[in-house]
Amino acid sequence: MLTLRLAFRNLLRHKSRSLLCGLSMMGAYVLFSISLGFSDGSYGSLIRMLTDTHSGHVQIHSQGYLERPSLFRNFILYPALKNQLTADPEIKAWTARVFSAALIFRENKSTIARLMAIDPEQEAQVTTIREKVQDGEYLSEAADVTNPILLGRHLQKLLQAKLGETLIFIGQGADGSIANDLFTVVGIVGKSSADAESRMIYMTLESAQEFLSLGERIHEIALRLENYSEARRQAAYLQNYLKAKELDVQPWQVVEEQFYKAMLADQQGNWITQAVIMLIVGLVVLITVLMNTFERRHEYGLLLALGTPPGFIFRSIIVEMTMLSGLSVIVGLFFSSGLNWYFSINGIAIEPPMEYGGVIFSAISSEVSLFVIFVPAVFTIGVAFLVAFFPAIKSARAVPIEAMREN
Amino acid sequence: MEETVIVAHKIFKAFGEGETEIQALRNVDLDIKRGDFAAIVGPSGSGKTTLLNILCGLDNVSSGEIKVSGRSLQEMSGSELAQFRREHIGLVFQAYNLIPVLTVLENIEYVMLLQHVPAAERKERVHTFLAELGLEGKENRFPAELSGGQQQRVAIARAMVSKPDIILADEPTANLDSETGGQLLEMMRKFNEELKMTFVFSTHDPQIMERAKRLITLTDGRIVSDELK
Repeated sequence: MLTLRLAFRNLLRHKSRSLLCGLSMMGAYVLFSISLGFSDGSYGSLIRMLTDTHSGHVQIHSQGYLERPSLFRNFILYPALKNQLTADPEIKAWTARVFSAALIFRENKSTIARLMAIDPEQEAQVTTIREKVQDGEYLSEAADVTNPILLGRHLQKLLQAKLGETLIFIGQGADGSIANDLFTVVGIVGKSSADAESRMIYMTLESAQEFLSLGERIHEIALRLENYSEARRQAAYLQNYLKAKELDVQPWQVVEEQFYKAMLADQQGNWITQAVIMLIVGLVVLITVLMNTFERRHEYGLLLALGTPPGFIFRSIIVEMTMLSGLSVIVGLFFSSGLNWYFSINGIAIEPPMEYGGVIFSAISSEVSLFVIFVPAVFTIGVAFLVAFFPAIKSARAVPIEAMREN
Repeated sequence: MEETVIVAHKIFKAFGEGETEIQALRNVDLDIKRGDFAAIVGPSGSGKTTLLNILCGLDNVSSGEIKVSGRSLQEMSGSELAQFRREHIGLVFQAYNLIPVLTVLENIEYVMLLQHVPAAERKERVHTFLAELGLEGKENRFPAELSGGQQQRVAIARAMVSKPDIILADEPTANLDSETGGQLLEMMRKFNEELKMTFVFSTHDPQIMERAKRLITLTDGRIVSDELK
């Protein structure tokens, strides 16, 4: 109690000095928190964008498919697996996929295209495929059409294909045969040729399985969870369950490895910026503590002469700086939470949109979370504590008579 | 036979080294008995303050031995000395040396707080001293709001309220007018007689010399006379 009283009154002793030091700590806390908020918010948006548009949160493949995708690395979606995925409360939705490539012909024009076969209803629960249809209709809405496809914008321009037209597909069947069939364009996906889906052709799972002679076999299952942060845990859990089935379960961090590594490298860069902020705060606190302790040398000598234990002097200096940093963090918390909340709703538009790890990024937004509040708080108070530590030890170890001679 | 509370034996104290060495105390032998009201007198630079600082363990001796309340000060570490002063010695300084961020009441009870004296007892002792020293109504003032005389009274209260074995006072009246100084000395004399507290002063003040029961004269670091009055 006496330590707290002394620390508090000493803070009020040089109000402007304490205010300046407190303001710098508050500023650092706010900067750190906003920077973390934007970092978490932006990466969160990116991850959501990536997993919502394509990958889902967890994927299941045959062993080796991720490293070397092949028509022949497929597996049967057996009923027990279906039941397991459907019954798992952690899995919000799941969808099966088939991938291949084919030669596409329209009159005298031809091209090679990547095919992605989906279950239209289940896919729409895992990704935003339905919203990508710019012209025409989605696959499930063209039930009366035989072999409907969604054609990417780039391919549509290349083939000069129109809605309702029939295209010829030639490819390789999984049984070694030559696959060929007719497919009808029911929709166009992608806003511009630059969009990733503009070079894709989407078809139904049934028509792809027949075209490629796959039977009941598929290449991929994509899962959507409640939260992308649960992906690793859920993947490990499912992997354990599916171990005997020779299936490979991986979270989005592995499936989208290039993106994830770029994100981690970017985060490292952010930590360096935040370390510089903390270093500046550390220097301000150090100057304040040194000024305070040098100025009070006589007093520390007096306190020791009166019989004060050295530990008490150490504690009072540490408590004083911890109190100031704590108060600064509390005040800073209102500003940073307000700003983070505002930017989590409004975001900041990026003009022109930038590409990051294959994902188009048009705005950065912040995030309010316990991480964004507490990590900068712990760092700010921790830096104040560390910086005050050595001057506090020096003051506590002062020789009373020598310290008292300084006035 | 009266108990000896301070024994100083063959004390030497030197500052500096080689050609710049100054002998502040030379072969000082001194016994202080319980209940003494002793004044160490002598010209400036004679070693009075140095002797007082050595007697309370604030400064080290170059050689010799000091025992206070039966314990050798040279054998104690810094924190043991702090604890020893807290429990056995009250200090009064020429420049008052109150803690500026604590009120009068808090300054007086400071040592008792370190001694973990229960709150009720602390309060009772502080109020007794406040009344005795004429400081009632000034409990919540800060040192800067008091006159020099009032600050020295608070310093004396702080030194005496924890009932130490010995009070060491370095020029306690030097910054006070003679009337205020006289009043404070009367108070200390009263505590000495009523509570049998031991007082050792270093001083130039004739008022203290008049009231002291024992005069120890120091010249060039040596005790040249030690007379009982």
